[in-house]
Amino acid sequence: MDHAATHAIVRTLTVPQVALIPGLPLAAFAILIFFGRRLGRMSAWLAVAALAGACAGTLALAGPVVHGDRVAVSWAWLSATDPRWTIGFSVDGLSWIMCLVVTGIGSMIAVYSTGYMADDPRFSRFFAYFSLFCASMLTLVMADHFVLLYAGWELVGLCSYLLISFWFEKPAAAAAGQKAFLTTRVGDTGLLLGILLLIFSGAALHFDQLGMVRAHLPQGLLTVISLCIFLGAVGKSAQFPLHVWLPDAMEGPTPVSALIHAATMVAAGVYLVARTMVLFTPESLQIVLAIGVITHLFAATIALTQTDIKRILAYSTLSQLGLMVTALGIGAAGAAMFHLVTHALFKALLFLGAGSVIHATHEQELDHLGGLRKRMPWTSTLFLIASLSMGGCVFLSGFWSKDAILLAAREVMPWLMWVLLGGAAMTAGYIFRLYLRCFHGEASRHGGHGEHQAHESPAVMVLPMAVLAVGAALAGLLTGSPWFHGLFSLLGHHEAHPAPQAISNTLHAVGGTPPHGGGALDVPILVLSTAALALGFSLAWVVGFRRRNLLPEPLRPLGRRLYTLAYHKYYIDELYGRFLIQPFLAATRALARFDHAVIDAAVNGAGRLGGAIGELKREVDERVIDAAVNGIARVAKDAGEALRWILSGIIQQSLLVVVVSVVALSIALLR
Amino acid sequence: MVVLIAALAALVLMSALWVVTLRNLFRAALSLGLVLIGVAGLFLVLEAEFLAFVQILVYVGAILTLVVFAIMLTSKVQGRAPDVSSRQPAVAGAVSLTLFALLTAVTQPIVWAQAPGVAAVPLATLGQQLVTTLVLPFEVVSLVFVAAMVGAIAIATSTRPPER
Amino acid sequence: MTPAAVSLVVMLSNALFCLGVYGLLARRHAIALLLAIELILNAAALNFVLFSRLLGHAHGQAFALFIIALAACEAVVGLAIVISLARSAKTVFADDVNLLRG
Repeated sequence: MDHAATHAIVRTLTVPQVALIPGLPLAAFAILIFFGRRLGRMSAWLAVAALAGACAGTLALAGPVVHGDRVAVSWAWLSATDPRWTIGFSVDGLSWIMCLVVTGIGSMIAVYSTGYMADDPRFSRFFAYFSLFCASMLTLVMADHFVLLYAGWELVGLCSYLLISFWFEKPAAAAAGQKAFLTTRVGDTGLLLGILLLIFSGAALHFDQLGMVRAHLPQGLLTVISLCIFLGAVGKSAQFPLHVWLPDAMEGPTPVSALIHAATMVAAGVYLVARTMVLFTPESLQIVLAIGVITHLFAATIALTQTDIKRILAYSTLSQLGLMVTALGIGAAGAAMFHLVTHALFKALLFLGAGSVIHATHEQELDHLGGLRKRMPWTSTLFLIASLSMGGCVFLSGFWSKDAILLAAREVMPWLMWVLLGGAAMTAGYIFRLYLRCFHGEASRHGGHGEHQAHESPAVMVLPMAVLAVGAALAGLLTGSPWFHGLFSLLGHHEAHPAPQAISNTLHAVGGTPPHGGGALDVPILVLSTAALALGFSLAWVVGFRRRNLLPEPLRPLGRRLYTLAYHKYYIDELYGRFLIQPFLAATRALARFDHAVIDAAVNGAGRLGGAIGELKREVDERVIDAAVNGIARVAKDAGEALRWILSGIIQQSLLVVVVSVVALSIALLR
Repeated sequence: MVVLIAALAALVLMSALWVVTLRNLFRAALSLGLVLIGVAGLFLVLEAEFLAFVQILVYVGAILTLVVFAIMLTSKVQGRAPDVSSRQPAVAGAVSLTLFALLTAVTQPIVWAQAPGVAAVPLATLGQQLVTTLVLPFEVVSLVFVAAMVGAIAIATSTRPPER
Repeated sequence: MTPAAVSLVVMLSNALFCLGVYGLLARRHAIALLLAIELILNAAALNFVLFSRLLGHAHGQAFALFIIALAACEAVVGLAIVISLARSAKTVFADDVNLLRG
């Protein structure tokens, strides 16, 4: 199909069954939360079945979506008060791709988890949270309304917290969960602010009406709104400066890292920006670009120095997310989404492979690993495929997506392309360093750890990895290459708005443009990216694997200092701790002291005052009132006693009274 | 006629005064007899002959006799001891004088119309009324008689003097 | 009957009545009380008969008859009480009987 111009959405179909796609995992969550313990092993398969069902549902929508239709279902929510408030799901090309990624990769990881989490006592709860996460993520990507997206956003954050601190007996895991939640909260506040600004400026909140919003609001306000929304993405997609939670999140089980922190949740930020791209002004896009580039390079340098395999992969994720955000910053939303899909595939595979290694050896440190290629052939091969894909080896998925971004960069800002090539070289560097150190070389001390002889993982773990490997290898070829570019046709549709395509003078939306010039392979880019891969690989071999120091003598101290700086993650965590967290905690302690000393004292004082008043009242009651009442009684009694003589019992006395009364009455009546 | 009434009135008043002041109870009772006779005389003057005779027969003949018997019977208890009259003569006197003043004040201003030619009530009429219009009070009075007799017998026979 | 006569008789009955009240209030002996009561009743009967004569109506005389009859009953019962009182309380004075003392 020809996509030089973006297409308008052909039509919108209302299909209520669309609600099943998030509905099935949600139902699985509900069942597993209540009956999971009773279901035992079955809970895993229930979750897998729910996800597979959702995947099937997504695939069933392929027909209309590929044609350019939008499949939607919508319910009146508060529309009695304001027609803006209907809620529903809408699946267009962009959402459909995300759904496919979530359900497809999610199913694979669920199957993998049945093996990985087999010995865990809280087995069923893991799958309950897993299902809830998938349901929330699907809600997020299928929402047609900002508020529903925000609801899914928050739920996803909650599930991330629950799953990171799944092994909450480990204090590190609990702390990591808290850190993740709080850091993304900072970002979420931005998103909420953006939504509120939209509401108060009277704009529409449905995603298909954002074009009109862009047309009606002033530039400055749009910049603020889009930056607020981007703040949400910064938090969720762990961009600098809110990236600190992602490495710590590796405390969670590895399937969690694979799904949430590689493939899906962190991609939600990228999705959000892609979805609301039309609201971004040139000013806000510049900031997006800046943050993306900083994150990409900064995380890559750290990844080169780390020794925990999961940490390396975490920083790798940060770096790749930065790359996606960079693509967004130059307006290449299509390329960013393409890279999101391929990254999901190979990064999930990398994490599952790492999980496989950890499951087999119970080791995470590179220093304790090595030479696993012989004992774990499958894992090793699949890991290699993923690494090649990530590095940008020709014809593999990662190559196509990375080149799409490089192409877009070359169109817009040539110097950016060189920077990204540098980043690509570093990417290849750290990933092959990891691969070589882990699977090649002599078997290190791990053998000395006794019983844990490394063995290949069971089929239930290897098969999903294999499926992902196929995707990591071929998906890019089939969807984004010059010969098959279905993905871009899908993505092109969502950007059709009545608004002008030109976002600024220097940028233009390239979402609809497939890479490599729409029909031919762009050879210069191919050469450059392969050169970057080669450079990275050779550096990894020499410096990372063989451990030779290539720097000349005078520069070695500098090199060592730079290395230490990168190794300690540029001390960002420590900075935050000293300048943000400690003052905050000190303030809370001060407030607690104030609360205790002043407010509690006041409240207790009030209580004591109440008590004192009660005492006083009691005194008054006893002395005064009782005395008065008793006094009255005594007076009455004494009066009675005094008057007692009247009742002498003598008849004549009574008669006297009678006669006197009669006389008196008569006299009175006479008058 | 006024003279006759005046004379009888004087008799009655004097005797009544004796009744309420004489210390000797026996003499007081006899004075009552005089009062009753005087009143009977007045009845005669008022042309209620039957009633005068009934007054003499029943009041003087029966009731006064009964009273005298009672005095005799109870005199043993007190002996012919002085009947110290009254506990509160002053108060009682004041009260009764007030009452008299009141009654007089009410009745004196009334001018009694000279009703010409109203005849006295003949006995036959009285008899007739008693058994026609007034038959109910008539019969009730007989009931009261029965009750009084039974009551008197009950009271007089049931009481035993308690042990001191 | 002349008005003078009428008012004389009325005055007489008033005076009798008041003397009876005096006796009732002032005398101590129980039987003396009964005598005083007889006075009162007679005063009333006199009044009745007077007005019966004045108005030519038989009811006055009939009522006076009833008064005499009831006086008899009352005297009987009263005297029975006095005698039983004399027997049990060994007294005939009304102010000695103060069992109703409050």
